[in-house]
Amino acid sequence: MKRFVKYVGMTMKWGTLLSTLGFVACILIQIFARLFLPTAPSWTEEAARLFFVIAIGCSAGLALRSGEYVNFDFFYRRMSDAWQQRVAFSIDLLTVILFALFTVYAVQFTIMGWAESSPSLKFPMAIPFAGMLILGFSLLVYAVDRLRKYFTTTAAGSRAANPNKL
Amino acid sequence: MIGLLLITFAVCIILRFPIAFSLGLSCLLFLLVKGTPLIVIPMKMYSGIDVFVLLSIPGFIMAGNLMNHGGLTEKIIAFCNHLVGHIRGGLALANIAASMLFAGISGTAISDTASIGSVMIPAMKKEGYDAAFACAVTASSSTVGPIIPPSVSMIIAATLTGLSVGKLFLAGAIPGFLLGVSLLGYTYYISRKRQYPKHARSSLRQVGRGFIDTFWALLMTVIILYGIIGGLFTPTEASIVAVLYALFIGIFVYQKLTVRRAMVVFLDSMKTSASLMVLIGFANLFGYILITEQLPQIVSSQILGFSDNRYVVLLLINLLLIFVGTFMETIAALLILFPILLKVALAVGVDPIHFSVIALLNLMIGLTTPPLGVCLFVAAGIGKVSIGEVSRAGFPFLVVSLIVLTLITLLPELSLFLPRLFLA
Repeated sequence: MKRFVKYVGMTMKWGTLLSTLGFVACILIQIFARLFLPTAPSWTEEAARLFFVIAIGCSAGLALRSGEYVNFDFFYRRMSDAWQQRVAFSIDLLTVILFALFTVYAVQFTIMGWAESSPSLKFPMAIPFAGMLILGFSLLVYAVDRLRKYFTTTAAGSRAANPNKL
Repeated sequence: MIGLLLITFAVCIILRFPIAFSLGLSCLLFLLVKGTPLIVIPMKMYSGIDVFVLLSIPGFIMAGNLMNHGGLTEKIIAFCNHLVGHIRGGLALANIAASMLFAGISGTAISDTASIGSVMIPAMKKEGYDAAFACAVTASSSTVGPIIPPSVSMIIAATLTGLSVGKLFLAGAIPGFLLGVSLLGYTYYISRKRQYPKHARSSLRQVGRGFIDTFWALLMTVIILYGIIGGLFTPTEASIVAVLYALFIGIFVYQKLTVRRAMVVFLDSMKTSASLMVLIGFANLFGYILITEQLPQIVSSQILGFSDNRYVVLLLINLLLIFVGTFMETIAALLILFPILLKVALAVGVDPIHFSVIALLNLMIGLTTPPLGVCLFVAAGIGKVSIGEVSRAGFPFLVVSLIVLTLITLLPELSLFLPRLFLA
């Protein structure tokens, strides 16, 4: 599992960087063409949006790993350690369920996209729709990985600490 | 049925579920109970994210982060200290001035509290300022940033309403400046009363050096605003120009940025952007459910049934937004409540641009409203002071902010003058 998560992480990292550079490049072409060429190409906005959706899909899981999702911990901080552990476990379990279902339906959504094509570049809409599949999958992988940590035993044989401990 | 959605959402938030996932989970439960096909979840998430103007959010975040890697926070603070440090309570005044200048770079109140606070709160404590006062100044002044352009929250408000981003940016300028100046005034009054320290006057040379150090970063804000207002760029294009400019300044002027570091900044900025986009995507689904259940109409008729007086309606909206702003992240609150409340505001003849500024200012004030205001918690954590002490010290700042909010609510011209002047 650890190795799988590591490979997913590497893939998502490079996917994020390349697609980010992709949308930055598309917008720069758009600016250059509008300012210096007689006509601006119509495909740049569409291509930029495609790269953007893929970049967000790839970085959503990495954001979960880095704890970027904002939460409200006023009441959580006031709970005992035992209750914090229970609540944190429930949160991670529900996150897994949410993104497992999201991923399943994102597959259907992506398949639906084969029947449509984009207005300018004429690529199948399944390609940008796959951004949602990537998003669901990457969040699912890191949510499962967080859940796994509750069952990992330390070298001393005791249960690992709550990964959400404040 | 709508109760199930709202209760699930509230319970998830109370139990520290990330706000974005709270939206997703409550929608999932609602759709399961209602028997709606779940394919609507990725569909609405996609349509919420696939908006060209939203590409400006990672752009502005990247540009700000690239600038910060050149040690910009410290440079802005040093410059403000040279500028106002010789006045009584100079460091506290520099704290507020830095937040006003930092506005164009950061764009979010919490990051402003964290970045400026980590430098200023310990420095103020060391100089003999009351720790709770130092935290309160930092937390209160950080709410100015997201009002002064460029602002991520304004971009989202524009996306929700279809208003021009340029107009919203301009609309925030005077209210943001007014709030900053009011906080400066109150801080000066307290500093004189408590005889807080002042520094020796900086030489013109030191002020000039401080200005040069921050000039390139401040110029970025000017380029963004001039580009958008002058019709040279769209907001998305302006954000990417800002990224290119920040890269150039970081590599060649500040000389602290390498390609490798820039890649790390890109990756970190995209993670922050992704967390916002997942929130926006789920909020789009949440909003879709609210609309299909006709909640905006219900809320609108309830409020208008209570009173159709413009000022009473605005007062009710202000109270609701401040309350929500105390515990909910600004962007989440904006995404969920703004479209609903805008309908009510429009019904009583409030200009949508004016209303956007009011809504944002309310949510910002909520961030410093005890007992739950997030910025108070961040500042109290840095200053190692209890939240009760920071709340007490911050209360007069809250009153000042509420007075400014009242002025901005009652005088639409404060928000509408600049958009009418430049983008009529």
